[in-house]
Amino acid sequence: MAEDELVQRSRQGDIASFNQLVAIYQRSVFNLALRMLRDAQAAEDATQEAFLSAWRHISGFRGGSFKAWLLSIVANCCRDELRRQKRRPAIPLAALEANPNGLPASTCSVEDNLLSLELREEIYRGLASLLPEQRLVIILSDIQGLSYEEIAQVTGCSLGTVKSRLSRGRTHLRDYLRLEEHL
Amino acid sequence: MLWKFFRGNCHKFRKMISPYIDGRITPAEKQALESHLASCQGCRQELKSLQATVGFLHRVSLETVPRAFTVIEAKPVTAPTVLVPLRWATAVAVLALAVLFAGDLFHIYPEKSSPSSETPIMAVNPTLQSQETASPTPTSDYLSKLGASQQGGDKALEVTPTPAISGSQSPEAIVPAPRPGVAPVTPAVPTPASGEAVGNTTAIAEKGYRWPVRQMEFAVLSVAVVMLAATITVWRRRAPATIEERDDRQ
Repeated sequence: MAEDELVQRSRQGDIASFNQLVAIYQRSVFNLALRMLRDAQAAEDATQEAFLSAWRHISGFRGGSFKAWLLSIVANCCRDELRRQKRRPAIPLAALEANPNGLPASTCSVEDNLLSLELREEIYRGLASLLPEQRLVIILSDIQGLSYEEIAQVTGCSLGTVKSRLSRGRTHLRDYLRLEEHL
Repeated sequence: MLWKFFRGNCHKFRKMISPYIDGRITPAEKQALESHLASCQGCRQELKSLQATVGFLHRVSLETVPRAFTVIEAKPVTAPTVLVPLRWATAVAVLALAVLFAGDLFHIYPEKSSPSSETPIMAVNPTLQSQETASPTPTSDYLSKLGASQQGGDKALEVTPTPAISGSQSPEAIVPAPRPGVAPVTPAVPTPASGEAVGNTTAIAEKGYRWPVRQMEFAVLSVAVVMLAATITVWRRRAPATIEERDDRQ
């Protein structure tokens, strides 16, 4: 069934159709939450909260990219969680630096073999060192593959802001990897 | 000076490199940048390093999800349909109680009129009265007369069934039916002394409302309390329809 039809049925209250959309996009949503929050448990909670919120407000989806709409919801959930963590930090920074991925190694996919484990870990640390706004656009653009327009929809920013955040984020990440002698 | 010019120029072109990598600059900008890159080693290095960084990011794969995040709609526990009418009934009872209290407070209910027309007068038989005044013991004289009438073999002093006593009647209203030819027997009553008016006896008559307002207030209050308790109980037991997650552990 086409995505448009699934979305239309979901808006009419068909939860089975909505769960098909969940099955399609849950990996993207979870990974965005994981990269933003750097903690698997927090990412699970944010992902579930995002899908629940999406179901409750499905009638508010006006069209366009459904993926971008979902990612905007989870981005907001992550933003709220980061603010909460900032107010009440629960995980020591050292623990985050030791395991920036937040996941045990066994959950890594096969494609990760193409990227060395060490480099992958450094990239995660580099992403963790960015400002949240820059981290978000880097993940959406270079990991999730969204277009500039979709990123603007997710973040609620203008195209010019997306461009500048992307440029600065890439530059900072490049400097971090160069410092770690990966470039 | 020239170095500063080129440095300023490089700064302008380096801002174009990131969108250039994504193919998001205009043809005119692209031409200008590529012309600059042909002559600027520094900007070429910048482009190369940024392209490598983006290349690394493109190779980062998505993690597999630890579980499914499908949502289910929880079936509501039998929503009590009695809640709405119960709430209305409680509101009506409370309103009725408020009206009763307000009426009682401002005395708007019809009150009992003068007891002379309501409560049966404990009439004083003038014949008996005169006899009693002559005798120092009116009670004994009354009893003697009662005995005489009974000995006459006539019908015994009949006490006809009295009408049902209402709340406004006093027990003194019960009097035996008079026998023909016999003076009506009335219970001894304290005779009014020194010409006091009969109406003084009404001083002891109870004043109040014509309706049983106090009883009504108590009854409506009881009903309102019971209904309020029932409403709260039913409301707290209701289960709102909510959406819950289904945890399918892989």
